[in-house]
Amino acid sequence: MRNETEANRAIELYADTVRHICFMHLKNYADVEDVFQDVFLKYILYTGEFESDDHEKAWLVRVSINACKDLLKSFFRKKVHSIEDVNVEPFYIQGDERELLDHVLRLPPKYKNVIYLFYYEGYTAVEIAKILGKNENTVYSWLSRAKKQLKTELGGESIE
Amino acid sequence: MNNKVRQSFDKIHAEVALKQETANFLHEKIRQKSGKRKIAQSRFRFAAVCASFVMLFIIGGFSYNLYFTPRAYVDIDVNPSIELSVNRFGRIIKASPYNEEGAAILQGVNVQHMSYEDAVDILIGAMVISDYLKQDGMVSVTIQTDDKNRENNMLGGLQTMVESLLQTHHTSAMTNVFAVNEDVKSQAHQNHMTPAKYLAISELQRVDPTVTYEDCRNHTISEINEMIRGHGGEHHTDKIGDGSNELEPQPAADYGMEENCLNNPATPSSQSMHRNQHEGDGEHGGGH
Repeated sequence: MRNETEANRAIELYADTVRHICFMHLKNYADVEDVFQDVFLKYILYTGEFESDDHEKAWLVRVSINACKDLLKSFFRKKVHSIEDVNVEPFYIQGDERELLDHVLRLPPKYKNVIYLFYYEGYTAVEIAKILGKNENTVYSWLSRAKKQLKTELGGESIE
Repeated sequence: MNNKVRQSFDKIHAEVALKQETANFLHEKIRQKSGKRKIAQSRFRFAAVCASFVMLFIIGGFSYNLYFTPRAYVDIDVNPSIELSVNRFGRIIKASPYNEEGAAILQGVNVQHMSYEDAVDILIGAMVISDYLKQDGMVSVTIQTDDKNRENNMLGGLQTMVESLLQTHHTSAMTNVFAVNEDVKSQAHQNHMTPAKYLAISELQRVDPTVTYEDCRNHTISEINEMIRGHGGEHHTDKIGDGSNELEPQPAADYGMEENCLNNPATPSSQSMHRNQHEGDGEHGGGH
């Protein structure tokens, strides 16, 4: 188990990245809190060695995406809507950026992930394929379809 | 698009409260885990120490029992009479005197944990130096053990050793090294004397039923043999004690091993008893 210093460092370095992924997938803040804590708990319990900071970040991205996926597909969550659903994610972005994000958030999860990783985190398709554990061509295909869908929804605006 | 995505996500940050709560949550988990590990470690250490003590106790008890259980007895009779208890490793675990002379010898010599050969060597040497052994005296060494191999080894070793020791001291005393069975040893022990003296007195009782073990306890075996020769088959109570014998005449067969021992020295295996005499074969054999 990692110590408190390592836990603090990881939160400081990767909190925003984990928060972005939670923002894309989760609709209420209580779920964000759960996944956020769960991801960093897994981090301190992970006993393997990271080759570099990039490796460490990629590991956290993958764990975050999987944690969101697990939460969303849980049987209990599918069948029950709690009072916490009222506590929706705070949305403090306005204007064009808000519109773009709305469209990104409406994409299927797999497309959201590749768009975020490709455009925001700057990963290549090969790196994304490794992080998501998918075939390279699949990632290319998802990227292409995601761009196409966004382009259509944004009225032909270039997304390159 | 690229920039818009970047700008949009750049505005989303992990809330300070979220980060703080998560940090607190992780710190708590780390402390709990650390505490549990420490408890588990201390429990494991305690259990290991307990197990070690138990093992030590068992091994110690077993070893103690193994070492301090007598497997053979060696009795020396010059006149100082001494019993040596020998363990399975051939070491002396107890040396007990039968009489005051024996006690005096043991006061000056500590044979505890010595090999039985060294102990016999030292004790007989001490008896010779202390002038207990007369020129025409006798050194009797008896062995009692349930293990035949051990008995044979001890007999051979002690016979050679005692003869060599007496030669070193330039004495013409006789040596008599033989084995006795448990019954003889037990009866001798009950009468507070060595098996050699017990057998000699028993033989004397055959020719003079009025003598008692008590009467003859303080005589040397040489003296008792002399009495047997002196009786020539008749009772001579005047030579030993005051004549007020406590024992009724007993048939020779009552002595069990004695008869075979003394009358048939050449057939030691018949009753697990052997007699090895340095130069006095004729004395006992001829006398009985």
